[in-house]
Amino acid sequence: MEVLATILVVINVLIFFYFVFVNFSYITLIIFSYIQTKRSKKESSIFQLSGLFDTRLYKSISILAPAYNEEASIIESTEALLHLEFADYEIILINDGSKDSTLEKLINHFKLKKIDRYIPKSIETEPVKAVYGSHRYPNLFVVDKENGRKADALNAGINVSRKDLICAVDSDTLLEPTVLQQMLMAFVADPTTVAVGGVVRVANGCKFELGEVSEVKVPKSTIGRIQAVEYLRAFLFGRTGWDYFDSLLIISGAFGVFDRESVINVGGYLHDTVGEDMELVVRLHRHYRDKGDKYRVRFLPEPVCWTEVPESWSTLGRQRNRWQRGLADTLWRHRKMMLNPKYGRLGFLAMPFFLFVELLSPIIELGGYFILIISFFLGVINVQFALLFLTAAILLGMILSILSVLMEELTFRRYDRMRDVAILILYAFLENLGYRQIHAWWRFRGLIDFFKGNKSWGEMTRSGTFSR
Amino acid sequence: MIDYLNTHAEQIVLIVVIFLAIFSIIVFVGAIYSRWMLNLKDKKEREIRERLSGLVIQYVSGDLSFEDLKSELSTETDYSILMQISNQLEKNLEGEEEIRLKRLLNLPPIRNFFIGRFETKDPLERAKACLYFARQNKIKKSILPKIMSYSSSKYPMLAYASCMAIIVHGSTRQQREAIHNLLINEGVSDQALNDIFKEFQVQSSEESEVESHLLMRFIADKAYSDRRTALLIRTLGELNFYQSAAFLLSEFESLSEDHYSPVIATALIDVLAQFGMSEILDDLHTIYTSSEHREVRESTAKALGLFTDPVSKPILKWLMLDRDFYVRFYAAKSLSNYPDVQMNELNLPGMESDEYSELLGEIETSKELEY
Repeated sequence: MEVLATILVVINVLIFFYFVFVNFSYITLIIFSYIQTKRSKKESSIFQLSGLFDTRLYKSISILAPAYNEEASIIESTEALLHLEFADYEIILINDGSKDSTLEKLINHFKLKKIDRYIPKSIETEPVKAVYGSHRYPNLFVVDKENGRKADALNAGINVSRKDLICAVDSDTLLEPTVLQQMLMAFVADPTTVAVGGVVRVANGCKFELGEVSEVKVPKSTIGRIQAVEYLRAFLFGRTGWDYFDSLLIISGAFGVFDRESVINVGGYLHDTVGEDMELVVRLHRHYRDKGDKYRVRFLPEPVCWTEVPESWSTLGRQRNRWQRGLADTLWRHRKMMLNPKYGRLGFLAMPFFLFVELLSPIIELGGYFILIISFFLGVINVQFALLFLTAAILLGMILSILSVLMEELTFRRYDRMRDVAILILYAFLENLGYRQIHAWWRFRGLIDFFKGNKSWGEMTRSGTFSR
Repeated sequence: MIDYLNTHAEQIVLIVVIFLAIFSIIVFVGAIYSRWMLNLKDKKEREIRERLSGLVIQYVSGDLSFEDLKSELSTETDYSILMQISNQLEKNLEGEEEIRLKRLLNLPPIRNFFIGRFETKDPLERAKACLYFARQNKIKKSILPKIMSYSSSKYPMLAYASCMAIIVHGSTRQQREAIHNLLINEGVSDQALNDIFKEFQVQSSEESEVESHLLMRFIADKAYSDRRTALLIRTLGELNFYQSAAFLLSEFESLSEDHYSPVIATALIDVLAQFGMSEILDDLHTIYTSSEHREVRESTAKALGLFTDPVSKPILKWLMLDRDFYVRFYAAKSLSNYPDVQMNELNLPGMESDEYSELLGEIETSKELEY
């Protein structure tokens, strides 16, 4: 019994130190992300790009939007893409074998007609059935292909595209009109840039007019509000902080711009993973580090895209399960980078962080709760200690969430109303009481599913936020 | 250690909890308070903005004197908002109104603020100061050497901003030197350089004579990377200064038949074809149609379609058998520009294939959709 008690105490101590390490890491990220955000805002005010609409010598962009059963929002999101302010861009919507009326809606609404367009097989994909073009919108193309999942659809889009850069977006996202110009800044500022990510914000609850956000509001549902806080935390201090260290490993699949040639050179998006967005970024890092070429992968905190987040617990659970499997898969595939001096900060900082903090945290967090309860029942620790420790853990989580809301307040302040800010802060508190534990459970299940070899995507239902 | 933690764990955790609880309350109250304060500040700024916007519009349209407007400005916030209003208005004004607006930027508090930026060590702050001077109608010549020195900075943004200011205010020699510094700075992207050239064009004569001569000189120097030289050639092409055509032709003719840079050759072919310089046809027919570089053959195929010279017809037919789809595509597209050519009656090998009909379909589509 004494041995067991000692083991439990040691585990509790280890968990305590892990907890201190994780939170110290997050606080460090917050500090550097604040510095990076300020720097990025300054940088964006330097380049004027006065010639952007007068000359074709700037880089051109193909927007790739894969769509699978997106009939609820496809027209509105496509309309929004057509209203972007950029001199030379094309929109390539890829209908990835939708079972609903996504394609028919597009054909009818945009008066599409089948066109002949040569598609080089730069990357192997499922067969393309047809390419559609529109006389009304000469820069709009729709690729109809056999279902092959998102990565395959994006690869088909890359094959069809003929511009310098590709911008991968989810078809249920809405880009702000000047977003492409803002993203181009990173390529203008540094010619070695190969990929740039932007901020994804929660669209649920916002008002939209003519494909633009007319009023930024917090979502109405509890689950939406919690995700609004999560997205702020993930983008405003997570990715911005990693950008400071030049070690960004994730560019959201919902919104990222890549150098087309670089993506083709590394073989495009990977088919047999559910974390194709992160995997591509890590592969780009690996490719350029292996070659010894100069390159940059950037994250800009100013360009914003709005996305509809799940409003049901089951859909959200499936999404988070998938994200965890994607993370595990990417870290496993690129395990050679871990603690490898050849990959510099990526190998010694970013990869270990993602392994110990992002991947293993659900095991440790749930394990921690479990051990704490066992220890309490075995009398290894008393109730006061158990409760205090839990309170400390939850309070720290709350502070981190609130800091991300505060960071938003200090930098971009997209939420106009004080009421919305108060709601966000409230939910930054509340998410730690119940949701955080459920979230840890979903991620834990994601890890188990990864080890079982589950590579399913899971059905995602859209409510059509942009069409309301 | 374990013993210590066992004995004092409760106290330690209690202290942590109390600290975190106090901290979280401070953060919560701080966030609400800061938003409240920011809202008040916003309200105050909105009022100032409304008041100043009206005055600035009166001033730029000549209904209010400079002195009267100046007398309305007192606080730092007034000047900061005045800057913001000027930035927004600047893009929409021209002529006398623009000159009047720019005079506002020269108000001592604004000027001193930006001169102060030069004293910071932050290259971005210096860059912002350079851009401020780039927006001025006139600046003191004594400040130019300092701005000039930044054009060779290793920070691309500072080099870019400094060059922008030199383009607006510097002498021809200084402009040449600043652009040269940017051309050799590998950290500066082609697009940033292109922005400089566009500003150069705005500042120069309508015929673009000065900048065309400068670009020609840079190209003739042969001191830059192939990528940069190609950019210079393409920029020269965009200026449409026809006297540069003869110069570019001589550059084209001086390309070594065996060891030319594909990037430079492509740029020259594209620009000379756009200028309608039929002197390049012979070389296109003989040297560049059989280039080992795909992009050169593609440019050649495109260029031949602009001239529609009868001699090019068999060569375009030959290019339609190229190993690269886009060379075949542009050759076919160029052939379709000949009024006497029927694309279905060319009698070429492979005409029965699906790919050939796909190619013809794509040409038809590209003409219809104009891509």
